[in-house]
Amino acid sequence: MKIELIDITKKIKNKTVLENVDMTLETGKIYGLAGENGSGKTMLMRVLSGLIRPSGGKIKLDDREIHAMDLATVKVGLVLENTSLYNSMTGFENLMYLGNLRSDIRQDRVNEMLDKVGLDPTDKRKYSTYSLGMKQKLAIAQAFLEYPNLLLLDEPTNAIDEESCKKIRKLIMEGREERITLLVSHDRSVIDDLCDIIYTIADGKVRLCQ
Amino acid sequence: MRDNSSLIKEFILIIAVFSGVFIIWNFVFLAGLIFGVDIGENKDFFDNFENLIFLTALTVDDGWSVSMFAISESMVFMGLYGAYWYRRMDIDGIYYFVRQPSRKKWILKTSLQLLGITAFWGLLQVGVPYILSSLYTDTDFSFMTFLLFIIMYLSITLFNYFSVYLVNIFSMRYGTVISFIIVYCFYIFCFIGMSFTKDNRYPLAYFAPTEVTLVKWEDDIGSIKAFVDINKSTIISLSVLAVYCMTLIFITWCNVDKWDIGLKSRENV
Repeated sequence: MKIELIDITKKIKNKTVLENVDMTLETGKIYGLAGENGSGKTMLMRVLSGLIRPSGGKIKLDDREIHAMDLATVKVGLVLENTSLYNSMTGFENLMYLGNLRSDIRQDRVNEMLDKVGLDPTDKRKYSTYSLGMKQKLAIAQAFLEYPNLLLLDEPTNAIDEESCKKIRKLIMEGREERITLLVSHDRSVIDDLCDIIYTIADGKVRLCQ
Repeated sequence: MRDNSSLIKEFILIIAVFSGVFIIWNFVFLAGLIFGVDIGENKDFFDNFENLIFLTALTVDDGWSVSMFAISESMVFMGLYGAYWYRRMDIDGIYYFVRQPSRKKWILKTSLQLLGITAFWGLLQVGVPYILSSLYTDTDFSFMTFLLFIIMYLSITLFNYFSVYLVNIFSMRYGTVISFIIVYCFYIFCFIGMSFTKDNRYPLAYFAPTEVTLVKWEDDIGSIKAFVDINKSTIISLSVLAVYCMTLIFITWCNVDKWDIGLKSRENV
């Protein structure tokens, strides 16, 4: 699978948050996107996940031009900063609910994913009582849950302890050849360690770094 | 075995208790809306009322007083349902919509879901009391009247619920002011209609351009009776509702792919 962003621009209230972005993403590679806070990293992730319609530019999927929203038809696994899951559900219930919206996810898979990120599948506590680190782990678990073809991770190791960070890194490397992975972080060392191709973003402009 | 009069009293008592609970609920709810509900930093249910547009159909009491924000039991439901969708689209929408390959299908599915909930609510609110009143009073039960009664109530509540549901979606996209204008223009039209109908008993009557009794709910001492009079104006009234609902669905259908999910309404204009 190949996704091309050509001259993508996004304006919000006349303020340009993404400017003439060109990117090519191919299956099997891990891409890194490094940039300061407010540089447009998260906005680019939203465009790539089909949640947001760009104000200008083209998107191609396997050399065929598609509508921005059609990116949602690609099985996307997404972790975004400061987004919440359902407060009234447990971690297990959250994953069962989300996993069955577009796929038919079984309990075994949910338990496996919770275990892989270091959460207890039998934990009966509600999401609202989770610590920041636990919430982040659950968000990562839901992103990997359905074997995504496009994995978009925005600051995945935020608020996570060192031991769990290793687990997450291992998870990112597992099965990488079957998907496109885009890793966003302001921590350059994480990106340098894991990524094959690195982009940088500043003031909404993206540049190929390596 | 108890006689009919004691059963009627029991029935009235049950209705009264339910009404009382609803009224208290509604006042708490309305107070929360007016004064704002703040329960700290917990980003939970009540936070969602911040940008929520809250509507109810014009409700008129036996006098000629009209209230745009009349308290009714359906208001609670509409508020909860409106908040639910607001939350879906604006707060929790990220992980939900990334798993929705077709938003248009989603709109259709949720509209049908809404119809189902409304039908159930209508049955509970109107159907059950009507059946009970037929059983325990001298009102003859007529299946056709019952059916028409349900359809009529369904239309009214559907109008309410669709307004809340879709106007909240509009508000996320276009802001609350425009959404209010869209809906209240329609309500003003209804209000003008009312001045011609002279029938202030039920909101549906406002839509009728000529004088007509659509549904009358009479609670004379211990007896609940339903009269459904179908005529030309009834058809017109229901058509207006149908056109209204269909228009809202159509506008949503055409625009849903253009909406940015996960941005706050102020960013989304």
